[in-house]
Amino acid sequence: MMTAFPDEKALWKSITQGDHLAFRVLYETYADMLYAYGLRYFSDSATVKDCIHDLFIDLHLYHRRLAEDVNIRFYLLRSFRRKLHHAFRQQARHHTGFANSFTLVSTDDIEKRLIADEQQQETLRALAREMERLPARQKEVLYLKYNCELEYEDIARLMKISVPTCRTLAYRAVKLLRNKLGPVPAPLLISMIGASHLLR
Amino acid sequence: MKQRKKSADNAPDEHMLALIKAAGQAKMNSEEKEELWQRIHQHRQYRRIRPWYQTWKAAAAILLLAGAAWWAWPRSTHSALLQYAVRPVTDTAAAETQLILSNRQRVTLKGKNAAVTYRNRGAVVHINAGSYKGREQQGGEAAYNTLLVPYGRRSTLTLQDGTTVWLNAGSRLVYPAGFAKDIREVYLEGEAYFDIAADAARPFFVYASDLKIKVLGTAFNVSAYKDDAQQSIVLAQGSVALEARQGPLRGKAAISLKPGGMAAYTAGDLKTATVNVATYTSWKEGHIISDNTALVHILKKLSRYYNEEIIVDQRSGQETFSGTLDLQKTMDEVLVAICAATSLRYERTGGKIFLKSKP
Repeated sequence: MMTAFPDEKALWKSITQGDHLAFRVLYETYADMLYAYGLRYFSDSATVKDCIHDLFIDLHLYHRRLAEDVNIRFYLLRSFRRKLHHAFRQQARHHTGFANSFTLVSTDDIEKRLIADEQQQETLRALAREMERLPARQKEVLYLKYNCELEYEDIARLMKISVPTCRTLAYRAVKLLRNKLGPVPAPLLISMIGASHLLR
Repeated sequence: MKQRKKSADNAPDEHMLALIKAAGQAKMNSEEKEELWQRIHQHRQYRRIRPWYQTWKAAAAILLLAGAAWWAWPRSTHSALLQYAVRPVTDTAAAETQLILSNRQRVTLKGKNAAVTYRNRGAVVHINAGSYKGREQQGGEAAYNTLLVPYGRRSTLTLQDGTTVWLNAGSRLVYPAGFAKDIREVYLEGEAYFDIAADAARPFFVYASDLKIKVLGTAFNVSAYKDDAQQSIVLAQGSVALEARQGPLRGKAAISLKPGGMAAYTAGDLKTATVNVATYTSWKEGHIISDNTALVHILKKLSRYYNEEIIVDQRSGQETFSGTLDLQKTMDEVLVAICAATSLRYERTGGKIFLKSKP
């Protein structure tokens, strides 16, 4: 039946106790976030789903050994990133390596998810192209910071880099983009922000 | 100044943010999401290759427990009723309310609100205003009966002494067909509202969770679902005294409640508070009264009441709701009422109800 957890802490506690319904709630709450993050590394959704599958199986299998006090969002993203990494090595499609294969924005995202007229679409594509040229680690920091809303401290642990390095990566990414592109007209900004809110 | 400039530079423009956020909008549709969950769920069950009782650790634990039980047995103060009631029940998944008589015969009670009445010192059982009449053998103290109320059903029960019990969905009550001369005892799992017939010569005891509740003539609600973290006793009138019969508080002094008082038992901790009694007892009149209550608590009640699985994500479950929900209405009508008052919407996928934030 229905399970109610007053907060994240109670939810996680039930997970460590192997509560089946807690796993269901955990899945419902975080599957979308993990799926979107996985698609940054893999363009085929089947692999991403396999990784989500493996992550939840492991959580269930080792629930007794899980740490008690965790930031669930961070914990899941970190464990999930390991699963993605593992899947990447198995497929071994690229010479570039896992760390370099992070795609921030696909053109698909722009066309399907952002409502904008043709001219705006073109500006967005130009921006997306520039973003895509950023080093993969810079893109990943931006994504974890502004999409997954993690703190720099957690991003650094997740990517196994130091906190100052992490901050520098984000700073450089933004500066690079600024230099390449001038300010974007205000109406376009508003339409994009408005659109992104309408999307869910 | 320099510092400020740097931190401003460090934040992306709105258009960059819009793109980064748009990147994370890729979602599985509801069917895909449910399908993946089913894969996880099934896989999880395959992995359980070796049942727990086949491991040597479990065998050792059972030996230890058996030893401990043998050691503790002479000092056990458990009543005969408790020994009978704590035995696990087989086949609890019935869709209809069931009355299990002392000879283990099962009587199925049709309808959403079955009524059972014991008359004539427990010798005659009336079910649903005479639609069925059974005879319960006059076995004295040993003739224990069980009323099993599944999810989606409610039941009222009038015991042989005139005590009335309203049983909420997903509950089990064990009681003797006829009470003994000096004591009245019942065992509860789930939720029930008791209106106890006064009888100073025969105190009434309710065993629920780890607690033992002693009453004289009084009315109160007990919520003791096994899958709830908190068990509660709310007193409408009269007085009750409660103590732990097992668990960490065993042997501690009894606590008494006054009308309007609540005793909440959570993880071996017993606390009292003053509450609005109606919010705890309104279910027996067929509605839920909520006053700034987190949705998770309300949805849990609805899920039991309507016997439907409801799934809500963490954030949405924390929204609060105030108002009265009419349980005579259909599940969908109640959900529409909740969604209208909150930022949520609901959808049905794969036989389950999902509550999500509105787009």
